[in-house]
Amino acid sequence: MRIKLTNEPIVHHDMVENCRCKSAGAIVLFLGTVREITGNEQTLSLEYEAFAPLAEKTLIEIAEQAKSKWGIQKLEIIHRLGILQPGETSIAVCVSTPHRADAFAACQQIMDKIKEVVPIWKKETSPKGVSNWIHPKI
Amino acid sequence: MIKISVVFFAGARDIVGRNRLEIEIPPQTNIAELREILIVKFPRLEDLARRAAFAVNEIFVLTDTLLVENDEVAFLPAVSGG
Repeated sequence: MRIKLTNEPIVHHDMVENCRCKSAGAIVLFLGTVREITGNEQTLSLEYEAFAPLAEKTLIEIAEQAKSKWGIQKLEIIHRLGILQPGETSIAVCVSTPHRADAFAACQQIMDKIKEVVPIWKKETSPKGVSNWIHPKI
Repeated sequence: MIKISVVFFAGARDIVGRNRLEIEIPPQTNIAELREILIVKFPRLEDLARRAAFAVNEIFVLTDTLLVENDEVAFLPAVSGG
């Protein structure tokens, strides 16, 4: 299991290979990437910030729970921090499980949980130079 | 009075104007009461504060958690990672 916050670009090929194992019949990789257009708004860049110690701890808890629930064989989660351009990968989640349904479900649930509780925030900058921190109203 | 520190992130830090605040609060103050103290000090923080989560010494806590001397409270506005 590898959980990491990084300022470097995410190399997802390595993650897939790290999750490959004989006990797994499926590997699912999810990449979250920076979208340029949301509705009518254009995004020039996104900046990600974390409360790193708690973010790492929370990611580990999410991973441990998913591991026992879905029978995950290997798992890697990497979240990028710093300033990202459209098209770049902000998060990668890779899991391997004996059967594919569990790998898809695990990936989905891990992502949902990350977006709900992990103390990481993004700031959106428009081409006009206007920046806003995103704090969703749930 | 007891001395604690509060760390702020993202939009909350922008409103407060710094990422760390040392403040003195009455003994037996809990997180919910600290939140009210912060809103009085920084009225523009209210909207984020009502929806914020809190951690003490890097552990998530509920709002009835009592604070003690030298605690480090993290004010965690609604998250947007991923």
